[in-house]
Amino acid sequence: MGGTFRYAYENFLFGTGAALSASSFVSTLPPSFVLDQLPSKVWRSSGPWEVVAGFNDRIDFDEGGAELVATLNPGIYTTPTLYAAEIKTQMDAAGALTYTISYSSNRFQIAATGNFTLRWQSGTDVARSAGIDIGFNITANDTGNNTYTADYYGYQSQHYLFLDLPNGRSPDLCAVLGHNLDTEGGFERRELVLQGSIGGFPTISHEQEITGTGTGIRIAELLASPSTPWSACQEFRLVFRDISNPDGFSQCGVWFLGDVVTPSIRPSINEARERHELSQIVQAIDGAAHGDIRPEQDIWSFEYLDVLDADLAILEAVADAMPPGRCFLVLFHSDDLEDTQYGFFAAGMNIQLSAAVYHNVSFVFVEALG
Amino acid sequence: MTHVGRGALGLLDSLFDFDVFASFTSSEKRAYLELHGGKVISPWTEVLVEATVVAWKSPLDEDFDGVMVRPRGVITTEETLAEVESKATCVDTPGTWFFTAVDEDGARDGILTVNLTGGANPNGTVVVALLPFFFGTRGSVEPILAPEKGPDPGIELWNSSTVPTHYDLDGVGAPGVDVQREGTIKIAGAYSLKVGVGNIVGVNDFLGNADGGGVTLDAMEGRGGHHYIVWFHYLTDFRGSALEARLRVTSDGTNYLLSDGLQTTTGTNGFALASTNNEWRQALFAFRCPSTTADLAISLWLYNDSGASITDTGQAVYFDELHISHVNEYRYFEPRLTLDGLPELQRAAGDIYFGSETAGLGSLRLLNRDDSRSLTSDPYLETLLGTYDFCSRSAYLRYGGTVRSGNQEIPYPCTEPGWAGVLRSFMVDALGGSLEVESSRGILSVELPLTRWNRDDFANLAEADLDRPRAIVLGTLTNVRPARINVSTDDLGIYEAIDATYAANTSSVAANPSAIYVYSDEESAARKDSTRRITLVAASDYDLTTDSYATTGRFRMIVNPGPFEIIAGVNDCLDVTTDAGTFAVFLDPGLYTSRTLVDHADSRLTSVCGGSWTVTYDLSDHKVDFTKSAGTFSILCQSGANDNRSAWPLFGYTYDADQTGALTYSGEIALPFDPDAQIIRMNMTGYKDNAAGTFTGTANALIDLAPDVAQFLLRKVLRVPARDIDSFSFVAARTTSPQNLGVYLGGLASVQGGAGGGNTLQEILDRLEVGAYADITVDQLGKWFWVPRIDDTSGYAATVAVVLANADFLEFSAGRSLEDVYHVVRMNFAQDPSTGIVQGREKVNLQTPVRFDRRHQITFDSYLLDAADVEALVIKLARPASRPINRYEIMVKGKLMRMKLGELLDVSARLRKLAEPSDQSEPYIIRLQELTWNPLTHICRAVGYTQYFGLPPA
Repeated sequence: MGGTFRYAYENFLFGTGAALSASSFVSTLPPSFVLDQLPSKVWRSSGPWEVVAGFNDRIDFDEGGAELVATLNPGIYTTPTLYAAEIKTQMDAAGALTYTISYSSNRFQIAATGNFTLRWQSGTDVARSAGIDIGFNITANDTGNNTYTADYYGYQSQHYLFLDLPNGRSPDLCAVLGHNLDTEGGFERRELVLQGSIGGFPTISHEQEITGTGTGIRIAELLASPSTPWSACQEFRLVFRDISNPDGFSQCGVWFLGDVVTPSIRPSINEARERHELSQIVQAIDGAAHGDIRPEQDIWSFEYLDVLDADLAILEAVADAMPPGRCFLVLFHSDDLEDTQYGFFAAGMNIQLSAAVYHNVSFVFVEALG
Repeated sequence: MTHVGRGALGLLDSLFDFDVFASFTSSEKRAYLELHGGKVISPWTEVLVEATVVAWKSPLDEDFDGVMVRPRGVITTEETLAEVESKATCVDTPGTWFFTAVDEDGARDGILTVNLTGGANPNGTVVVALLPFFFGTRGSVEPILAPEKGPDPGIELWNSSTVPTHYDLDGVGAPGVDVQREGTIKIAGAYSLKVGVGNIVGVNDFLGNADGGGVTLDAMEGRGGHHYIVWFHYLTDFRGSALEARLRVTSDGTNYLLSDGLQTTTGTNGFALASTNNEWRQALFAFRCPSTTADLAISLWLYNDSGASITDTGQAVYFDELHISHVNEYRYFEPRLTLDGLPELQRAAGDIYFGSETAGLGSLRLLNRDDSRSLTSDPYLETLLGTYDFCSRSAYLRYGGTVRSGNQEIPYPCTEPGWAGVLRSFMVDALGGSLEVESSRGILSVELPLTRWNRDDFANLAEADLDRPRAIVLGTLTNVRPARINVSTDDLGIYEAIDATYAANTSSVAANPSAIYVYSDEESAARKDSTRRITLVAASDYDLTTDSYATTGRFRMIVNPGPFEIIAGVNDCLDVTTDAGTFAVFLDPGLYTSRTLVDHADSRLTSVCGGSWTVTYDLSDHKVDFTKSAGTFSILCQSGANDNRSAWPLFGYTYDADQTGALTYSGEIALPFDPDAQIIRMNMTGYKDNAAGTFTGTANALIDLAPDVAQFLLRKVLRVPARDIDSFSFVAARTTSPQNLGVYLGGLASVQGGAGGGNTLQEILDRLEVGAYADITVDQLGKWFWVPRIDDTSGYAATVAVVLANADFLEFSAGRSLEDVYHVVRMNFAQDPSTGIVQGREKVNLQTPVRFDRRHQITFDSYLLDAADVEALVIKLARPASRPINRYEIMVKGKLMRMKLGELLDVSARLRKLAEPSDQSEPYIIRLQELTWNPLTHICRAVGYTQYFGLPPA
């Protein structure tokens, strides 16, 4: 195992004055659940379709002339029929043509009694466009026809978690656990995006996809360019651009947005991994064996040898901030972000003076379940 | 693993049934716990529609752990309200509640609306909201379902063998599909639904390509955009066939949901369910209702997708236990439950006979470790358990799990009921909370009647009735002593025969008494001696109207019932002198009330003396007045020729001189009128059913069959919610247990003291069970079932027994003991409610003392009335008592988890086992007497005994 070995434990969500909210939520699964350390304790968006003023409430279009703007009424739309009806109402009101919004084979279609252009890319309100929510690829306008079918399956709109900090911060890492994103393909859009704003939304100062595959951890180092970190932002939006999710909602259990610390050395020996299999087997007199399987749990024993003061301070800071039982992230490999584990110290950190200025440091790190 | 049903929509099918899951797989067990906390809700304000109060509302805007708490139930002092799906339905339906979490604009609301039965004002009672809190062995979000929407989930109700009551036939007949009631291949209850390739002779004997049919559940209301979950069991018996089991759901009859639970199509054939290869499997379909509708329809179909006609009429799909519910909300189950901290569940009967069933639970443990970032500012369990009333509130445990490989998980709605209990106490420390849970059968220790006649409610209550249990009466009773609860202005008794508090029919609590008697003395009353009593006459001697017996169970005397006795040669002569001469007027010996006494005197005076006479009993002073209309009249109460047998003292004429010189005389002293010296008994019937026939199936019928009596006591007296009683088994028991009963729950009113102890519900159920030859048992969720005992030699028992394979046994042992062997078996019946005297029948096992050195006897008490019923039963009971029978102790995994005490098990597959007697007609079919199962391993231990079907008493 190579690369650097890092710890991510200072989460801006828990900083003094930090305020977490969401574009919407079902009353029993509020955004405050994200502040619980259990990945299974999730915020869940309401919906499936929601319109938030200033986020996804505008459709810029034209009918061969000047730009027209349809402004959707903010709110929750529980069926595609209701969402389509709102789009039609506002486009009919803004334009001269009559629009028909249909939903078939999981995709929306916008048709009119004449040719029209959907200004996804060049419209005045791209930053608050509903184009993504309807299922269109908004990197280019749709023009020259009287009917446009969405590029992606649409089971829901975008939803987001919103973090408002008292002061600008420049996070190193964004990681998300307990989400319901999955691999995308074909007509599916299953993206997770972090947006940062220096002066406040709708201005987007930084935007970066938080990557990952399947239902595992989504994680990304936040870099404006390969070696440049994000500048300090005061507002962050974790946007679930997961419109092709047939669940019809987005959810998030743990959102880490913060800094990473990197000791100069890796745990040098006894980096052992133990897998706990908590099963019982019973045996019938003349028959089968029955296994009662309990959840598996990874347990690592780490040991740093010959640690100097600078690194010792880093490790002690981790231990001070994360007492046994409190969860944080260990990034095992700088070249493979998904090789990251969410867990906790099983007990205190053992620090032993070995010789002169050197210390040996050992601890046990346990995978957090559920 | 899937997460359909946890918010994601779509179909999951061919899922393992839970006992299969628990028996045969290497699996991860999961447990889910729902704890209820109580909160008293008040005050209430009116909900008005056009100035009329239609319901009441109160804010219930509670948060815990950052989440609004939504009630799971609402109870009042008088009733358990039913949850409904909308506020409008609540307003229209008495006995219901509805909680509005958000208002029409989506803003937080938190208003509880109730509509009490009879339009009662909730401010006049105690209303408790039951607030649920959820825990699991793993953290997960699960759907919380509203009550069942379907009227007959078990598909048990049929108009005929081919027409289910609550399902419309759909595509049956011409396409080649037929529907039948199936009694053998089923998952629960008595029937399942069989949809087969048509064997309708002369009409169709094949199913054409792209044809299908089945049944459609009665249309229901659905709310657009809301989530619903349908789940059911099904079995396909076709292999390699193009036949398909199908599910079809529509909200408008035009657009049908696809299997993703989201999209619709105008195609009318629904979507296919995976074949189950002749095994019962489960399917769950979570969907979003496309539009608000009153026509939400669920269809269960057989479909031919082969491209050709199918002619094999032997092929069919079976459906059973179809459930549909609205998803009220999705809730997070905190992972604070430890599998190791769950108690074993034990259920046991005292012996092989009836009654004394016990259920043990224990303590469960919840983790209390708080992360410093916990959303509750205070410690979790301390805050939770300290905020609401958890003691005496319900706790429900369910089992589920996943198989490590493959897409097999028990979705939460399909999880298995583990147990239902009542939280008795708890202790919390920094690490965890220990919660003591008691079985819902704790109710069995309740003594009935719950209340007694007392001077708070009845200031003038007779001394003899003070603290006497206030009578609950069911069936037909004779010789009942009513309580004298008051006296009228005439100093006559006012009586109560039955406690109307529990009336099923509030306008007609019970039928009018068939007879009310006054006895000459207690001994005669005890003997029900017809020669020593007077049958009182309604409207002449007593009045049922003034106190409204129909609604109160009360009546009053309107004459002095006495009795007054005329004895020949002792007090049978009235000596009088009139203007026509001196007469000895002899009275007929016998017992008289004040009314009949004066009438008789009047009659005899007129007959003997001539003239016009009036003899009256003056209720104001209880003296008797004699009047002759004209002429002269003297009473010879001192000088009469028959002074030695004078009746004048009986009439209060104790003067020491003859009474002369007037035409009207009044007695010197009052006749005895103390109502507490009067010995009143009555023949009566108990509670009548209501107009809906809730307890008997017949409007206004007498509640007198054992299953109906049991259900009445549980629901009306002990307020067990209807949902906790298995209606089907109790209804079916009316056929298997047709014996009429007489149940007097009032203590045995002693002749002397009047007070008597009540019976515990356990004792009452024991008597009902033995009289009906059935077991009344409670399943894991606290639901009450009626399980009739099988008593024939036809081999039927083997067909209904759960069959175990040799490989199922983790442990197996067998033996015999003398524990339940008796020389004499006796059954008591027809107990006199006033004296406690019983009748009895017995059966003697002649060989038992010699063969087994047992000379013991066992006696069963019953509420039976008919000696013939008792004679038949005592023979049945004597059979297992005649000799030691095989006792089996076994341990298996999973397969017994759904069983109840009293149900049958077939252990014949065990290779090495104790021989059964050669004359045993049903060897190795055993009746369960004890069951224990472990929530961690799903290992069940059981004790059972062989039944001796058809074996005559030795």
